[in-house]
Amino acid sequence: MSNEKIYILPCSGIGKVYGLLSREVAYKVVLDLEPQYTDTICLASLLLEEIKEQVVGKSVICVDGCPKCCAEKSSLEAGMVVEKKYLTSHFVRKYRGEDPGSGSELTETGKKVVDDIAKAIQIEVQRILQERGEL
Amino acid sequence: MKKAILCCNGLDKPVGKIARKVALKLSQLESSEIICLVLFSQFPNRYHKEDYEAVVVIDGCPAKCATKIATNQLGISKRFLISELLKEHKLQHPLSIQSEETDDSIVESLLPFFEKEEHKQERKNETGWDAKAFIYQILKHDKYQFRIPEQKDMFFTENDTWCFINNDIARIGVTDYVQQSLSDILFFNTPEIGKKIVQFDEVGSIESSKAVFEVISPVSGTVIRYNAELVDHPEWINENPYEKGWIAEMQLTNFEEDRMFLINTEEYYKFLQKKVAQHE
Repeated sequence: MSNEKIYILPCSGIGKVYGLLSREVAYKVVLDLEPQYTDTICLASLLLEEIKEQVVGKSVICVDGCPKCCAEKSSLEAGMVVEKKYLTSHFVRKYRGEDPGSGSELTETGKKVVDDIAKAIQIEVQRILQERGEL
Repeated sequence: MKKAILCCNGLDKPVGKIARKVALKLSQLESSEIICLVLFSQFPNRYHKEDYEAVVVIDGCPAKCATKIATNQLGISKRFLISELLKEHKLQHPLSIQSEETDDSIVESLLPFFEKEEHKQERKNETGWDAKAFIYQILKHDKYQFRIPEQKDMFFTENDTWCFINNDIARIGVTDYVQQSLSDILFFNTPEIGKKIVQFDEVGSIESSKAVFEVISPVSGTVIRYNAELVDHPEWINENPYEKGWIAEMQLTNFEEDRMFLINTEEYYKFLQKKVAQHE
């Protein structure tokens, strides 16, 4: 049993709603749904060599806002183990025709999208913990 | 030219969150462009120093990630460190990453210190475009850059679609202008296989949260294939509408006649240049 927390890593998420969704998902999981088993880390700091040593080999679930997948790429470059990756725009498609919000504020639809992704991640976290024998 | 703001990622530290909020607020007030720090780090060629009149960096904590990442690649006109500013001006520090209401009042109290600053200008040489399979001409307009493939047997319409001819088969798609206008594409509505299409008829559509774009076929013919991957990955059109984001393939029926209404790379470049200039 590793008892190591699983990192939830959103994209930098600035300026676009899909990025903001990814950030809010990370907060939802880390602060509300699975605070005991998950943590997050600033993606920008991952790009710096001194931080990389702390995260090599650690499990991470990436939540990206755009197809550039910066969170996933940065995690891999830092030597983390990407257990699962999500793209927020895929979840927005369920609410076709509805406005999820802007780069600075989510609408009610945006908040529903956050809940959907956060729940999917929670299931994934439980799966990882079961595999590790920690549940 | 616009000012660019590059700020701390602002995720797991209260001062980082303030940095991010200040950056967003400033960008709204000054119509400046926010540069996503991590995107910039991953794709530095996406941003060019000469496109900005000034680049302002806002760090949250003394780790100064934004400064460290930007220093060598993007000229910095002015740096701010939120934790220092709060201390220097004896302002309240944010308590936690969940203190939304306190955050807003802190942001408001910080804004005047940013608005008073005048920014210097730094520039360096242009970096190249990250071309893949095709070679691209780049049309620059304001903060936008539009890729136009420089490819023999590739033609365009004034409806911003393209076709790439290979014997009697044409692969078709939308141009970079379309994907940038639509922003994040969420749906690809597929054309019907076997359907006979007359030049300038609709051949499927793509949809973002902004609008639906009917793909206007540049050629007449029969739809023999569409890019099925786009159903699950419509974002590929945003990534590259000429390569992995192609739309459909058509069996041509009368390309010689179609060709009369199509334009080549140079002509499309000039057409697009005029079009984007008119939108100012």
